[in-house]
Amino acid sequence: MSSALLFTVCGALIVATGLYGLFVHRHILRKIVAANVGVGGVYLVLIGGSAVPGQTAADPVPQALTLTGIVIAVSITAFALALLQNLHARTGARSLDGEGDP
Amino acid sequence: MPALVFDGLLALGLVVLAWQAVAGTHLFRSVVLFIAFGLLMSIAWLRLGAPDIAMAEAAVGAGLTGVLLLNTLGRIGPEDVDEPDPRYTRPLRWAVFGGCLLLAGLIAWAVTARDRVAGLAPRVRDQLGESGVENPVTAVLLNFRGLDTLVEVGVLVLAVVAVASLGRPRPRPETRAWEAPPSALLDWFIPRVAPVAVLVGAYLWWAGAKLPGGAFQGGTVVAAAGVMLLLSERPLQEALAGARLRVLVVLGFAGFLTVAALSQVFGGVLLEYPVHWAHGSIVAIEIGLTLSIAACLFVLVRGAEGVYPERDAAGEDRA
Repeated sequence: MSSALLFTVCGALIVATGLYGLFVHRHILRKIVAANVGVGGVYLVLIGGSAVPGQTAADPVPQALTLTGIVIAVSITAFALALLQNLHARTGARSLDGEGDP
Repeated sequence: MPALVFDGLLALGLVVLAWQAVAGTHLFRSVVLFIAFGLLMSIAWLRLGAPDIAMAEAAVGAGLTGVLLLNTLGRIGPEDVDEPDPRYTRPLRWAVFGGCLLLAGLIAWAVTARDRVAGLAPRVRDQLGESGVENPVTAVLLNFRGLDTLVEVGVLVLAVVAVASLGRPRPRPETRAWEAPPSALLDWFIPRVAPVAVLVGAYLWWAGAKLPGGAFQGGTVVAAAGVMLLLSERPLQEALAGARLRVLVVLGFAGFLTVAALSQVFGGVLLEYPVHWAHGSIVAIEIGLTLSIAACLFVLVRGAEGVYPERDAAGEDRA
């Protein structure tokens, strides 16, 4: 069992964790955290899965993809949080179930 | 063997923190654990031989995303307790849990069961001489896959425009705003450490051609310095607003687009630089990118305040 394999399995579990949170929780902030956690798992799968035994440095192409992903993820997160702040300021809601508090 | 034990503990810590951040009941705790998760992730990147990602993860994944989440939590009511959705009854939660676990198994199986291939690293290494830089990650980001990066910076600018056009909502009266108590850390330390952070950012940009680093890492460190200054209430708000801020936000995208257009017109191929121009083109694009990434992230943390002249969010009058 190599470290790369270990982190690939770890990444897959983190993807599952994020997805579970996205389903089960109502609070939008929690959903956003869950999505960010899950995305981290995707990166781990990308890098761990592309590792070649005997190579110390990770493959540069998935590394570049992951860097791009990190910047896109923070952009989307900022937008989602701005939408949440607007929703809360206008209706007081923190979830998408309808009126009022969850 | 000790390395494997360390990696095992790290992986275990990551999964536990991920679960705690997602499934706990207190939102504030969840956000703090998410930040810790990001920091552990950046150690994992080092263990996987990806120092470029480690830097970006520490600055963006843990740092700026954490600030964004805490900011929002402060505005919508920090004392919130979040229970799972009542529509998800216990058996249904277990079913979802099982389904997600099955998916994890499938992902791990799909990635590990395929035949081992050499990957793209050898091809990148073979072409590195033509790319104009020595850091293979920078070569991929700004030369071989420059189009991805161009569009990515476009998305960042778009996010700023989108957040700015939402307007800045005034928090509801019942939510108590978080006020940072005056402290030596904020008032004395941060204004002194911020210039060093800017210097580190500039170094990362310059070193990115040869060593791990580059526009993204440099830009995020500079943005982090700006955010720290915001916390210490230095007059950065007035200095960085309006047209000046808008120019900084679009500078990197505009510069990159110009280089792309020039390469298309004179070379016939989008973003393919002539070999002896490659280094200069990449370093020039990266100056703009470093400044713009810093400006965009900084503006996003501020909720796009100051991008447009002050304007209330629509619908606020009703509230």
